[in-house]
Amino acid sequence: MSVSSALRRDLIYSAAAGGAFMVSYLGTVLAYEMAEFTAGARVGLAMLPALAFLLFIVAEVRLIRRCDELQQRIQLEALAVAYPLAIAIVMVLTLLQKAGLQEMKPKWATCRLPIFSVWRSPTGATGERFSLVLA
Amino acid sequence: MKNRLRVLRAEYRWSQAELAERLGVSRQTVNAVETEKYDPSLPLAFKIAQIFGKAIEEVFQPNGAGGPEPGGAKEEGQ
Repeated sequence: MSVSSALRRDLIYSAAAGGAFMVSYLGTVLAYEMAEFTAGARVGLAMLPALAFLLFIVAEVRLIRRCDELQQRIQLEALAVAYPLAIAIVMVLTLLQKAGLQEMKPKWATCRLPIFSVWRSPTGATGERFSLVLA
Repeated sequence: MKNRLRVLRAEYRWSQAELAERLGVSRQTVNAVETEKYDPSLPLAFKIAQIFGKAIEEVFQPNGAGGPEPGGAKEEGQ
């Protein structure tokens, strides 16, 4: 198997795991809103997105290991932007809640989902530095 | 860091994709090195030099003056 086809396969795994996380997260949020569960079932349901996210992390690490040195540098620079950005978004949302924006609360869980997309978005910006866009 | 990658690649009549295949990196990486937007790691720089049968300083030169001349005499008595 050539490097590029292996890289493509890892990209597909990573996208699929990311999609599985989003679907399981939204599904769990919807399930909580639409039905009543026992305490045990609620905890079990909450673990589903976490499992999908673990798969995503494994796929992402495999993908980055498969990349060449420039691609790895772009990914790591993107993570250096994405990680603090995600923390900043969570902090701002928390402060907004403390500031009394209680009406946002029912949509809280879905508001946090876009934070996940922060993971990928800086890749384009960091890739642009080297006049290339990955994937 | 300056380099002669484009010139050497033209001498060998290799495309960026061909060189990338030989180096085991992506074509984008070869392009970024060639256009001097990215300085390769030492192992990759050595690999590039080795593929063209050159010493590393014959392919890569530091920016500005002060770099050793390719094939130049070494200073002695240090």
